[in-house]
Amino acid sequence: MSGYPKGGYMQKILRVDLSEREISEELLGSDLLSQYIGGTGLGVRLLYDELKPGIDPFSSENRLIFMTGPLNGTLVPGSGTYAVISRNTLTGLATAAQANGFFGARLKYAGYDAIIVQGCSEGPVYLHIEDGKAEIVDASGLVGKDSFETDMLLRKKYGEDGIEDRISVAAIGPAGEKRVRFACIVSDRGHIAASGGVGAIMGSKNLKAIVVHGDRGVPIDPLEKEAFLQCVKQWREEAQNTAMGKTVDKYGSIGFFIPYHSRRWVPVKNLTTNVFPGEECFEGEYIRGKLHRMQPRSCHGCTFHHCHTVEVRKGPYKGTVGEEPEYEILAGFGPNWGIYDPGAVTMLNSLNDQLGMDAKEASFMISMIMEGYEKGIIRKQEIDGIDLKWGNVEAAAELLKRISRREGIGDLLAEGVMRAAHQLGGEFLDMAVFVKRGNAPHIHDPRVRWGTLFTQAISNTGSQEGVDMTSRGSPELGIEKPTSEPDEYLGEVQAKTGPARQFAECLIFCYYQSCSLKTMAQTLNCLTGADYDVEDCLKVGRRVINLLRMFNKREGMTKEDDCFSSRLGQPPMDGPGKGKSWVPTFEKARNAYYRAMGWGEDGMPTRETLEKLDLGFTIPMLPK
Amino acid sequence: MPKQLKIFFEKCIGCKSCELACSMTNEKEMNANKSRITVISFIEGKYPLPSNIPFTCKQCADAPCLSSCPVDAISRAKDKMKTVVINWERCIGCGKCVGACPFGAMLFDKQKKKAFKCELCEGEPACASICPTGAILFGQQKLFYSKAPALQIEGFSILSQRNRENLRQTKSEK
Repeated sequence: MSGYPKGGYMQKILRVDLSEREISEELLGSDLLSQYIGGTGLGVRLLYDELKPGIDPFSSENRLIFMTGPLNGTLVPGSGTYAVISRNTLTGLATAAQANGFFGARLKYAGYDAIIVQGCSEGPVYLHIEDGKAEIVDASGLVGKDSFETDMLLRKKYGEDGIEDRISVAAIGPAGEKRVRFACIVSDRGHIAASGGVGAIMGSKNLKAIVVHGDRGVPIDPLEKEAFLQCVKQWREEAQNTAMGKTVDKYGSIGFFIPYHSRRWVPVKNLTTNVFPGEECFEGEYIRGKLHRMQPRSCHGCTFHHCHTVEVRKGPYKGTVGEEPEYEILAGFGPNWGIYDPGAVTMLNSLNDQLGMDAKEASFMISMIMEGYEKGIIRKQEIDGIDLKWGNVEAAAELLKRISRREGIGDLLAEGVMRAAHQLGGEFLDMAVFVKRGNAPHIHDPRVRWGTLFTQAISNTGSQEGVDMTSRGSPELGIEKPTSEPDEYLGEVQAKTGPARQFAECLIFCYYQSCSLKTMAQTLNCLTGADYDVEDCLKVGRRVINLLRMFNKREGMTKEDDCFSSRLGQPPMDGPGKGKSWVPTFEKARNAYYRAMGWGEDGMPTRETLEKLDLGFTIPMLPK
Repeated sequence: MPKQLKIFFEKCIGCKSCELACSMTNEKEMNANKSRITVISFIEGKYPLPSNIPFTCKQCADAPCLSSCPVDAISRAKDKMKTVVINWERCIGCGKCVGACPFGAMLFDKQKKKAFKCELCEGEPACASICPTGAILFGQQKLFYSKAPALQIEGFSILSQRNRENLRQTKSEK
């Protein structure tokens, strides 16, 4: 395609080799851009091309790819997002983690669509990128500093004192430096690229932080200006009028807590029960109206009253200042640990962000140990004398700190839920909550949230959550009725929603700012001069899912990895899902999904499917 | 009363959409550095801070920029908003107006070497129309005179400077 793209892209990627201390710029071909667009899609393609099979995620040969897409940094709502793509430290398969905030937008303002980090620095360094120039700077002064402090120090060095003005920092905390397998990358103070241990990989490269700022604008064809503004207005309107958008605008994702609890989707005490007392303390109205004093701190182009910095106004953690927890963390650091004080969750959430760890893994890790402690399977002296009873906030905080420093028992727990359970052995294998080859799922009790558990099990990155169609259909995707049962129909629906979700991750924007595929395609066409219709968008999504499958196949994944741990297969004790389990029908649904995706019974794409999706280059990976 | 931009900073969430909408409308590119409106988010200090504050031109009735221009490039438009406008053909890029504005609303384009400012998008300000929370509205408002607020800003700085100096002397006497 000549003359493509007309706008949207900065048309340059930055390659940083930390071993050689070399920085270079590269161009991406227009075919690659039109086939993968950006974000997770393009990142996975680069990873597939560049990575040798079978390398250790912590080896210097592994790549850490920071990707944006054409819409980032524009007026599209929530377009400050970026994706981090690498090899997953927990599963050894692929990972793609996303973070909102401003970093994605500002990486483009600094002049680049993407950063590929390779090699490993001898001493600690950070990367400073400004106006199309990049430098590797010594970071020995930042070693051991938490993620928020690192952010503030670098912001002050390159930006203006005490204000957040057109500069972004993505940093790892102590957990990343110590290669805790589920360490995350924290950007813009509190926006986290969480999944797959991307922070640990950054730590293994001795890269403490990346600072981006600049005065480049995102290119747009001046003739398309009006049309683009119209598309953006349409997008904003649609996003504000979804049920999800309305809830998030009013209460943030905290607003999901009560409806989820009424369906028994909230994880309680490591999934040993589904009910807990004091649900009224977790109501959006109570938390936003009475518990917290709030200061809005939104992401790039957001239209919602979503992210806030808050101060706890009452209870034992009165005076604590932190970021408002999202629903999953509220559930994961609250009821899942037997903690029924949301003020304590605010404290724990901030602590965990500062240490730089993925909340999903941290939640199911500590809940597992708590369950073991309460059942007397693990004794106090084995966990460094910490009294890890259900609901002990200080004990949980202490354990988080120990994990981040790999101190005492923390060294074992830093390996993630599955590895720790194998090491501890015995009943822990039945208590561990994980999917695939060992990463924690999103923080729900997914045993009656059939679609969620299914998408986590078949997800190629282990973390992607599916489009939940349990309560409605989607005419745009040809889904007529809701999926209410764990059956083959759910597998077929996933084959339709999966590509839509994957396409959105190629554009990469905040999940809460979702709109119709038609509007996404129009906006993209307007900006880049492409000609996608809804079917083309879904094809891009399918292409990326298939490529991810082939990447994982190359790393030894089989059908048996599309699964979940035994705790997730046990039927809930109470609530509407009492006695129900995914196990009896799971295989049937999985096969239905494989068929609908055009895959063989082994759960891998067929030659025809790959050829149709321009993935011919992966065919040598198939058995002859 | 002329129609003007009204800013309610307590409603601002800091999404910075206004900056992009402005540069898109006036410069045909999405670049916050070319925006006539700026949102500063203060992130340091004791909680709670009045954190997100949008700043832009107030089209002063006694505009210091207008009277400071040596080549009469700045004038008051004969529209209903009584907008203060710059004639780029006349502007010599001397920057006197940038120094004269007490509110930091007169900006300078480093590439074109000309001053630029909010001219209210010919009566349909893009910032007000994109703002998702109603922090920026376009409506009738009393004329704004710069003199008193400008002296107030100067006064704040003189007083805090003086107090800090006193404190420093007291401490060094000890």
